[in-house]
Amino acid sequence: MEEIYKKLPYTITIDDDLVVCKLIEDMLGLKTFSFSTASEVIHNKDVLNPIGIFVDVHLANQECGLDFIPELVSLWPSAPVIAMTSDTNATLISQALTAGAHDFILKPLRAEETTARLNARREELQKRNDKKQLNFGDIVYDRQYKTLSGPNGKKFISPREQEILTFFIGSNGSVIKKNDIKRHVWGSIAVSDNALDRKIFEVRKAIKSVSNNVEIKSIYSKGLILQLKNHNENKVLLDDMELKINRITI
Amino acid sequence: MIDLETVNSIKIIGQLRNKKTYFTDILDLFSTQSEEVIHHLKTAIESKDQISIYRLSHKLKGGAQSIGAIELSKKCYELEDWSNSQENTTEFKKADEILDSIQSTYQTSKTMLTKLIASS
Repeated sequence: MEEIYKKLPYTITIDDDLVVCKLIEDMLGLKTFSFSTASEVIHNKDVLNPIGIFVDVHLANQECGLDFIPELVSLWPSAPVIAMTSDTNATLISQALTAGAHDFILKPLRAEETTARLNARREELQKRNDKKQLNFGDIVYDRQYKTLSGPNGKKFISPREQEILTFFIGSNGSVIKKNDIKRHVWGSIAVSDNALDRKIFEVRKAIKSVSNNVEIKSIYSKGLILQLKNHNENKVLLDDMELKINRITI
Repeated sequence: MIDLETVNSIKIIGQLRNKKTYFTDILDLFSTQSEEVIHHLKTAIESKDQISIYRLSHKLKGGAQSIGAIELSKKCYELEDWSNSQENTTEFKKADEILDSIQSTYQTSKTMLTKLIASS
């Protein structure tokens, strides 16, 4: 029976609203396994192999879907995790995406949108998973060999540091809050500020050992940012380039 | 009272899947679920359980939106909003009143949706 589950395409819907689960199944024309809590899904992780996961924010047993997104992403890296809620709160949307959700849809769900989002995210993931190296400035993180390299050398980094670094690189130079790092890397596990600071210190040390040009900078009361040390000079160059582009007449 | 766009989108799913009674099936599922939630809401209000009131009203709100019962979702939002407010820890009479309104709106919405199916 387990082999059949692994071969046939199906999705997982984590929502305590059975109407939503039924609608998703019929919208996609694909079997969906419904769960009212994310814990149930995790509990069954060894037999499940979905092609996509829909997760509601508010779940049964007072579970918050956002807390489980990192683990869902990690368990099934080829399956897009799509968060959903009826709340139009912009903070909630950004929290879901920062936690690692590949997309977000608002209820009431629409068939075309739901199908299009799942298919588009699946295609993106397939392309992204082929990428074995992540780059930022002059540093390269090699996923296969778990090493960070740059002009000054190469360094092996621990699994948690890999996750933190990957999160920073994926943020594409935007400010990340410490709580977002905690949620993304540790999910629902409680992590103290000291523990996080120690890990970030190690990541900073690793970056510094391989490159003089990239840094993790603290922005007071906002968060952290992975950036090039000559960030401001680069911005000036890009602003200048933008002005030149706008001057081209067609 | 009813969002026809949502109702139509559910009907279209039924057509795609060749299920003639699709909307009726969805409505039945919604009704069973909602009546259970309303029952739990009564209990939560009686036991002055603000957290459960919030979660249950949020759940019912989502369900109502999914089926196009807009007025019902608004009533649920009232209760959800009430339960979110810190000052209301003793004023559960208000919660009772909103729940009465929810029950009556639920019945009206169900009747309207049933008529919509019958007329299509």
